[in-house]
Amino acid sequence: MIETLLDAIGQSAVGTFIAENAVAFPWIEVAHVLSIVVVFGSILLVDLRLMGVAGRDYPPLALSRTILPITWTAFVCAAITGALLFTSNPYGYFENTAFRAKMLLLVLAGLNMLVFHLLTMRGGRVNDGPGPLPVGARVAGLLSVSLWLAVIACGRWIGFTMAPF
Amino acid sequence: MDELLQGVVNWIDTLSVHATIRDAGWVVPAVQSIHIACVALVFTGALIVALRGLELAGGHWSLARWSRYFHGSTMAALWVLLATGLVMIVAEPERELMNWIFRTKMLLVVVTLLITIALGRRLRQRGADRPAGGGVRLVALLVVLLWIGVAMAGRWIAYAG
Repeated sequence: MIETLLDAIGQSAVGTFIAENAVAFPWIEVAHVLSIVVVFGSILLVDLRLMGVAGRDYPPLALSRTILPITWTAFVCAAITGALLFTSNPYGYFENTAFRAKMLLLVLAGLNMLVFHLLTMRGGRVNDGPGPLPVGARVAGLLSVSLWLAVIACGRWIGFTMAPF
Repeated sequence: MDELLQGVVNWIDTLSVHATIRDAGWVVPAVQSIHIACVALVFTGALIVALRGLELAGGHWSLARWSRYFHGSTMAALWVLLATGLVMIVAEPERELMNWIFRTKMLLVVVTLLITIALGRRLRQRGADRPAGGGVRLVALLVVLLWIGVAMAGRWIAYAG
């Protein structure tokens, strides 16, 4: 089942083009890295506020509202470019440990964000004013920074543990 | 220029630290990860300042306040970028120093840094309530585009030379 899917992806017009074109992979990778950079940098702003490390006079919900659209836009770009890179060598990526670890970390980062939004923010436990936030918010911020740093490291390790195509 | 840099490459090749970094497979990806995380700090600072200048984000703080907020982290990240960049050069001197994209990147970095520092100084001296003029917005946007150019060149070092 999975082999059929990987074969279909690898033999698709997009996959073949990215694997065979001399400049497609590097340009898509440039866009992918830039997108990840914006995802990490923008989410770090929110995480530092949650942890109470920086920007403590910026209302946390207002900060989330102004920064997270940037994060989500960059995340969508990262997901699209990442999927395109995957099509160039689906078997190679699928069997790569760093790639699998990156995907797992992304799921964990998403779950951390979901739990934080559902339990802490929607539960009304975050006061939208200046000053420190509850322990749950600080833990969510720390987890988020750690997970995204690990995502970047795994992304880099992919490049060192397999040929792109 | 090529002869001079080839001499530097040859000298680095004789250093024991070069062999140590090259032989330890984890050093370069680890250092590159730190490098990318620091690029994120610098680039996000430039991006948010530009978006605030265009009144598209961060409206609770003035442009001057955002500029002060990012000043420390940007400066710290730039020093770490220099350090991690030097480690990458020591690890693979030929790949970096003899590569025209690397040289272009360094030139872009210098130009971008000068503009970033000048813009930061000007923004931090502004009154909190003063809206950004057209010139400031344009330069803030230019800084973002220049950092994108630097990041592009950085990734292309791996593919061309």
